Amino acid sequence: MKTHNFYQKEEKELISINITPLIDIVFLLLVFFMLATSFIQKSTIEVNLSSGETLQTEKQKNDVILTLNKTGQIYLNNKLINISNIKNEIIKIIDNNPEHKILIKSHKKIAVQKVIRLIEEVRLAGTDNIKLVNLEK
Amino acid sequence: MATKKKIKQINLIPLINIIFLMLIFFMLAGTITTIDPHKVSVPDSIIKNDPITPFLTIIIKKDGEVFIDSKNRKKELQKRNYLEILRSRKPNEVSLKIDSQTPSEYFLKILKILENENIKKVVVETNYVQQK
Repeated sequence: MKTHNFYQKEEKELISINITPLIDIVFLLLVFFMLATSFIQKSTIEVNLSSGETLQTEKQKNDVILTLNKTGQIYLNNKLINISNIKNEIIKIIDNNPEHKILIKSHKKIAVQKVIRLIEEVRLAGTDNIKLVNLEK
Repeated sequence: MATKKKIKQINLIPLINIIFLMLIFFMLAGTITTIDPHKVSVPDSIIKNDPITPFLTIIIKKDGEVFIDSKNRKKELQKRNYLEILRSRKPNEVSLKIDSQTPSEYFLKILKILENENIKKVVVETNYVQQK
């Protein structure tokens, strides 16, 4: 009778495993990954090196000029344009003559973010023929 | 007595299941961030390109302060220091980590210097943001 009781007790003890330390560690790992991870996707944009501080070459007949002034307004060949329309307008110009060079003239104090956005709009239109220059005034 | 014992035991298995699922999600979906000592917030981009690991990274802060490979080389754009580093390393491609609020004049100055040094490829680091 005694031995029978002993085995019954042993069986019960084996079944219950203490999982509290496991939960502690998993919680710690979870907190670490929640705090240390980010979901920002890194990207890059290639820039043409035919850029200059000021416009040194004479404007050629085929050049398209995109001007970004101090207040952030954009002009396409001296016409005020919304950034959302740039892609379509440049597509139209390129369709007529693929040799067009896009000249982006940005004010010296304008943030790089706006210049990058403008470069991307031109790229989306399907041309890589971009030259960056600073506005002289 | 038996009913009292049952009430005391809380079933932790669903909780553990959910925590494990969350842990696996964060481990697989996210990337571990590194602390940026220069606190440069790179521009947003609407075009997704694969990030590259360039030989040389030039960091430009919004006040025009420039660092090469995390070492402060100059307070203002002094061409001499740049040329020394670029000429000694002769990189084919350079990555620019520029703050989104940096005035474009600094950006263009750096591009001009890199062009003069015959750097073949220059990429600007950005954060991809999906267009709404």
